[in-house]
Amino acid sequence: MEGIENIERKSMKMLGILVLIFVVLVALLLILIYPSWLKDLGKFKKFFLGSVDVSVSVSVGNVLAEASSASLNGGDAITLTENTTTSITATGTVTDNNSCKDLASVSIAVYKDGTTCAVIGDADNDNCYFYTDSDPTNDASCTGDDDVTYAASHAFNIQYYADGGTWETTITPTDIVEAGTPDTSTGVTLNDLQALDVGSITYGSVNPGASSVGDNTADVSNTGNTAVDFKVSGTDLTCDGRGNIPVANEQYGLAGFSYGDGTALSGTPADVNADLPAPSVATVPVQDTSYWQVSVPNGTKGTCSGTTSFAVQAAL
Amino acid sequence: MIIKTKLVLLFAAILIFSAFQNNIAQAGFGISPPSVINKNLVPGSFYQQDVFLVQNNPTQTLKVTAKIDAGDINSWIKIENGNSFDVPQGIQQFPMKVSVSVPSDAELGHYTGIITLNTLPAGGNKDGVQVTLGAEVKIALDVTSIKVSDFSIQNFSIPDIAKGSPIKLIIKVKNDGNVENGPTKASLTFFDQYHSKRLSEQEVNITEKVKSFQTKEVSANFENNFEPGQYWADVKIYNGEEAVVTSKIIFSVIEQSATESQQKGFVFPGLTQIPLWMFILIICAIIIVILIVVIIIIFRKKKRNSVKKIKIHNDNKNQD
Repeated sequence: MEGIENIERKSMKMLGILVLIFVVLVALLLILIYPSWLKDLGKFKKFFLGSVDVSVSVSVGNVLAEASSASLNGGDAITLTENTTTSITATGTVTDNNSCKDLASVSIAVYKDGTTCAVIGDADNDNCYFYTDSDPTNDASCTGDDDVTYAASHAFNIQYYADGGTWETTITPTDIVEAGTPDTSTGVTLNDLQALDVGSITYGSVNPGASSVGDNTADVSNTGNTAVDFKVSGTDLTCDGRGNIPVANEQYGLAGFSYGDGTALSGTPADVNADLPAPSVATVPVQDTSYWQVSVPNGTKGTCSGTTSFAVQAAL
Repeated sequence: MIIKTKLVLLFAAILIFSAFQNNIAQAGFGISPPSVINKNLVPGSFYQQDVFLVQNNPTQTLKVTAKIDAGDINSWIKIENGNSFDVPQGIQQFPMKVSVSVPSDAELGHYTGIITLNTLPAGGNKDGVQVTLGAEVKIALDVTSIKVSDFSIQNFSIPDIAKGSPIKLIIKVKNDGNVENGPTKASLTFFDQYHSKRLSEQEVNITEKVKSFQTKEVSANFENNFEPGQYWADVKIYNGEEAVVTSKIIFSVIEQSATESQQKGFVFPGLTQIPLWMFILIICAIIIVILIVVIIIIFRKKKRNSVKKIKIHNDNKNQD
C-alpha cells in the first residue's frame, strides 16, 4: 500500500511540474505574440484597485460645421443623354468637431456657374439642382458621437436640356445652432448636346400614277440642350414586285402642301432650316412638324422600301 | 369584267398602300460634344477627343458609318473606332474617339471640316419608309507657332493608407496647352482629426508631367509617421511658386494590412483575421486538453504497473 502512495505522490508531482511548464509556456506565448498585453495590465490594475473620482465641469462651446473636398462628377466633364435625365454625383466631406451627430442638415447645390442656387426655391432644371439631407445624423457615414465627419454625397438627375457651360457644386452644412462654412468644387464642363427625336412617316393609300394627299407628317423634337437644325436625305423606295419610286418623288416642307409644291428629297443631305430653339424647362418639348408627300409612278408593284435620314446639326 | 378590273385596281392600291406603312418606332440620336475644336495645335501635335453618341432608348444595336469631309486635312483625322462601327444595344453614351495628328511640316492656319454620321438599326431595311438619324460633327482646328502652357487640376485625393506606408496625394491633371506640363510641387500640412493640432509639414517636388492635350493622374508620396487614425491635410499644389490649389482633405491611417498580420500567424488559411485574444484562448485550450489527456494516460499506466509489481511482490512474500 505504501508503494501505491509513493507512486501517487510521484504522479501528482509530475502533474504539478507539467502544469508549471504549461503556465510558463502560455506566459512565453503571450509575451512573444502580444507584447502590448503588458500595457493592458494597467487597465486591470485601475479596474481592480479603483481610482479617486474628481468632479470636473467644463462647458463645451459650439464649433461651426465645415465642408471640404467638394467635387462634381469626380472632376470630369458631364455628358447628357438625349430626351432623358443623366445621373451626376456631387460629393464632399462635412466636419463638425462637436460630433457629426450635431449636424442638423447638409445641403448640396449643383448649378451653372453664375447662377443663384442657394435654396430649394432656386431649383430650376435648366441650371440649378438642389438637395437637402435633413437627417445627416442617421447617415451611414456618421457612425457615432465620437465621429466628427459626414460624407456628403447625392446623385442628381440632370435633364437633357440643362444649360451647357461650367458647372459647380456647393456643399453647405448647418448644425443645431447655425449655418457652417460651405465649400465649392472646381468647375466642370457640361457639354453641349445636339440631338433629335423623329417620328415615323406614313403616306397613306396611294394608287400608281397618283400622289399622296392630306397632311403626312413626322414630328421632329429637339432632345438636346442647344438650338439645332437638321438636314434630310433619302434613298429610292425599291418595290419587291416591280419597279421603284425615285427618291425625288418624295417631297417635304415645314407646312402643309400639295404634291408639286414641296421640296424634292434627294440622296444629298439638304438643310431644312427648321431652327429648333434650345429647350428649357419653360419650353419643353421643343417640336416642329415636317410634312411629306409622294408621287407613285406607274409600273410599280409590291411592297416598296427605302430610308429617309434626318441629320442633326448646329442651328444655321 | 368591270368588277374584275376594279378588284385588280383595289388589290394594286392595297399593295402600294402597304409600301408606306412605317415599321420604326420613334427614335432619338445625338452627339455630345458636337464639335472637335482645338485652337492651340502646333506642327507635330497629337490630339484626341471623345464625341459621345447618345440615345435615350438603345433597344437594338446601332450601325454607324462615319465620313470625314475636311479637305486638305482629311489625312490628319482618324476615327479610332473605324469608319463603320456598331453601338451595342443598351449603351446610352458611346464614345467615338477622334484623333488629330498634325504633320510636323503642317502650315500654320485655321482648318475646318465635318464628320457626317449616319445610323441604321442592325438588321437592315424594314418594309416601308424607314426613318434613320444622323449628325454632323463640326471640326475647327488652329495650327499655331505659339507655345501655350495651360493645365488645370480636375481633382485630387489621398486614399486611406496602411501605417508606415507613404501617404499618396493623387492629382488629376488636364493639360489643355500644347507643351508637356503639370504641377511642379505639392505641400501637405498635417493636422489631427479635429484640425486643431498641427502635426507636421512636408513639401514634395513633382517631376511627372502630362503630355499636351491629355488628362492624367500624377502622384506625390509623403512620409508617413502617423499612428492609425483620422488626419487632416492642408493641401497646396503649385505651378512654379504659385499655388494653383489650396484646399484641405481628410484621410485615414489604418492598421497593418491583413498580409502583414498573416506573417505574424494570426490569420488561418481561408479564414478572415481573428481577434488575438481568441487566438490565444484557442491555443491554450488545445494545450490544456492535450496535457490532461497525457497526464491521465501516464497516471493510469503507472498505477497499473505498480499494482502489478505489488502483486508480484506479495506473491513472492507468500512463497517465502
